[in-house]
Amino acid sequence: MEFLTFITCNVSPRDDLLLRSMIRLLNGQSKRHWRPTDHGHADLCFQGAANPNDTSESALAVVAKHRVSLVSGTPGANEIALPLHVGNVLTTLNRVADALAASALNADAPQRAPTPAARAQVEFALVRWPDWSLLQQDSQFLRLATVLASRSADKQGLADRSGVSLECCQRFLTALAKEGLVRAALSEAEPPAPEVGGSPIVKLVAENAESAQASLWSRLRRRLGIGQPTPEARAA
Amino acid sequence: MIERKLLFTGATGAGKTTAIAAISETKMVRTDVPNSDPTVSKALTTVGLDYGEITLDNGEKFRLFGTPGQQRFAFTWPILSRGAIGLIILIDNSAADPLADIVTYARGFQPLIESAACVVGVGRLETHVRPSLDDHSRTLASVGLLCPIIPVDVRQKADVLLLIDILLTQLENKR
Amino acid sequence: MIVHPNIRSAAQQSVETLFSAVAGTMSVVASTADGFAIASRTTDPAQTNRIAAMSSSIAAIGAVAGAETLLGQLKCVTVEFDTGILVVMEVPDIRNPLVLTLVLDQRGLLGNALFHCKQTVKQLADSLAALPRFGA
Repeated sequence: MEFLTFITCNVSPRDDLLLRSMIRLLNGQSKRHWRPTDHGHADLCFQGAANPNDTSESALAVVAKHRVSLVSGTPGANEIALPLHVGNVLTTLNRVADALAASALNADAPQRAPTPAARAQVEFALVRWPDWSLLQQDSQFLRLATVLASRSADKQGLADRSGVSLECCQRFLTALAKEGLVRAALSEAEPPAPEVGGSPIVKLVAENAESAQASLWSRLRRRLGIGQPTPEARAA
Repeated sequence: MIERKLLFTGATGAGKTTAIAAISETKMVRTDVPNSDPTVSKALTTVGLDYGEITLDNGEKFRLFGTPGQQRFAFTWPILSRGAIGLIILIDNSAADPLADIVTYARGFQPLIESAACVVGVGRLETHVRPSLDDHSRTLASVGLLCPIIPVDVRQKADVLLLIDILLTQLENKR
Repeated sequence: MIVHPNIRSAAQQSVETLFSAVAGTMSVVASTADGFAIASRTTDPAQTNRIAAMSSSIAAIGAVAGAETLLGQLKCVTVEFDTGILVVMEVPDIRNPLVLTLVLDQRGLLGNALFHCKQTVKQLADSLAALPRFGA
């Protein structure tokens, strides 16, 4: 899932239209892409006071991970000022995107009840390469950033591929999230590798090529005396 | 067939020849000629290619190629890119416009970067702190690329090895 | 790039002479060893800088091939195509080495081109020997 969803609730038709237009325009500038939804479940709900007595089923049924109220006067936390300004909307979208990424990081998968999509997992992807000061916070962060730059991964996958502890991966992802450098998305668990050709000989050739490549990296590492190969390369 | 070839590129004076010399076990093949460009403070400059070799424990050769850095030699870049497993871009932070340099090489080698692996080493940061590594990272992101970017001094063999370590880590983790 | 005006002038004179002397010539370019054009006569001026850069690479790779195979100093690289010939020669000079490039269409004769190129290289090398170095 590459985008986040928003919904409006009790927002005047004018502000509703404004919000939708602004967010559509801001897609591309905002850290994440946002799409409106009318299905009652959203990542973000803009809560207005246009009709405080609205007790309709649709209004009550809105379930959102984050709520931001539209208020007149000085806005507090989780509030946005009326009249709406595009800069404030952008700030709000980015703040909520960061909060969602952070809460995804803190989600402790084993303690959670299995979701209907039992195979779904939170995968993290680098938005861009982190500043050197962040990478120097821990001797393993450079390796973790390199692994994550190569492909997105869930926390456990990152730990497995890098050979770095789960705790260190957590610290790394948290540090990235604070800087807005990581994007979290739900993804299906990786499907089994597609069958390569039909013939056993074709499969064998493909496997040999992969193994020869891994072996080349290992040889080069040995020859140059650099680092330890990743667990995957070691196993190959 | 697995290619055994690694490519170094970057601006004139960024240290491509030095980096290859640091790890090549054979005498390098160099195509250096007298430099006549007064904006570059070097006596010699590479106009064809640099070439070095590493012998692996099974006797196979791993080849190291360096490209000419100047844009006028961009015609050599796709030729030298063929079959490379990865690219090391070296940036000289004391150059007139290091951010323009990183865009030049990112764009010039985009097919190789996207199909293989790439790492950027930024030199002379200790004397030229601006642009910062973060500025380089933002610039790369602005052209849609994400590559590791680290500070280096390619006169130090350890720094060259770190670049290769990062490149190999990427290759080992590619889907 | 700073090149002494006398070098440009000597190179331009040689380029003009060679262009007129060889039938089928499309371009003659004299460039520094690192690929900057300093004199040219061509039917397609847009090509001048590209020819200069490519010729310097060709000459440098040719020179290193000579050194690796212990065949000595590079004299000439000749490349034949479907409809023409490219001749690249080094103009030896201890201070101001240059590269001379001749591009011929199908009317050009290789032997004739090589003869005139060698003459031009010799004349230009003699002129360079008497001139100040780059940047002076």
